[in-house]
Amino acid sequence: MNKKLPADFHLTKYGLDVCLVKEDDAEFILELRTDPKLGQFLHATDNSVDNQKTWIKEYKKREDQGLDYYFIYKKDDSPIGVNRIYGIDTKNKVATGGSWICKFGLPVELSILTLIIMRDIMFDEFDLEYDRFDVRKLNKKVQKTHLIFGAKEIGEDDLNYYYELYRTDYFLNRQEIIKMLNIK
Amino acid sequence: MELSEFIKNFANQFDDTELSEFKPDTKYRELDEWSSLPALAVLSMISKKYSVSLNVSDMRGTNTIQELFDLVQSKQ
Repeated sequence: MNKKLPADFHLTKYGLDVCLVKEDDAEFILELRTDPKLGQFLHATDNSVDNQKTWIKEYKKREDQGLDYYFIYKKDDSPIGVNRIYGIDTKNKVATGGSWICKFGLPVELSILTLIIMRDIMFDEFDLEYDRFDVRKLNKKVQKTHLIFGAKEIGEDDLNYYYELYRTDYFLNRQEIIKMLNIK
Repeated sequence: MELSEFIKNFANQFDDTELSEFKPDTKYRELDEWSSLPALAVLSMISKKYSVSLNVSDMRGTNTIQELFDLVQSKQ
């Protein structure tokens, strides 16, 4: 059985507060996901706060089963971004990190830190061995970012490249990235 | 270390910006495409290609590509 995070999960790391998304966060998430530039590589999102709230409510069932988690990151009480860990398979020690989206204009450190914290949770809290994920072929900046973290491309189809990032590679590169972000 | 090569390597970290926009006096943080992701990619490129470790604070002390080049050169 998968390890479960409590419904009131809260982590403070690198000056950011991390919690599980709640229905009240629907408006913020919708704002990010429906932004034409920010959301261009994400699955289409229904442009309705009520539908987003319903989606989050349903999502809580998956969180309750320990399968998926949807995180929101706040700096000084203001939301700055979200991402998810989903398809958690503790038997095969794998999950997928994704749905990563942050506000425009953040200081360089902050959006990268949301990715780092998500992977720290994946590898430290859930003790997984690797992150298996895909990135749209046109989403080149995100591909470059994952490669800097040590991800390896394992395949492709018409739409996506497929990657795996193993914990050893992640922690090796993470150290260097933390230095680049000047995080103490 | 050549400025022209540095500019080319810098530009390679971007996807949508025309190559002609990358000049020594380009204020790179004012480029439409500038965000955390190219910033990390530029720092990583500098580390790999020039063996110089810069961080985001160092980068904030520069405005133009020329200034960033000068900083990298000063640390080599």
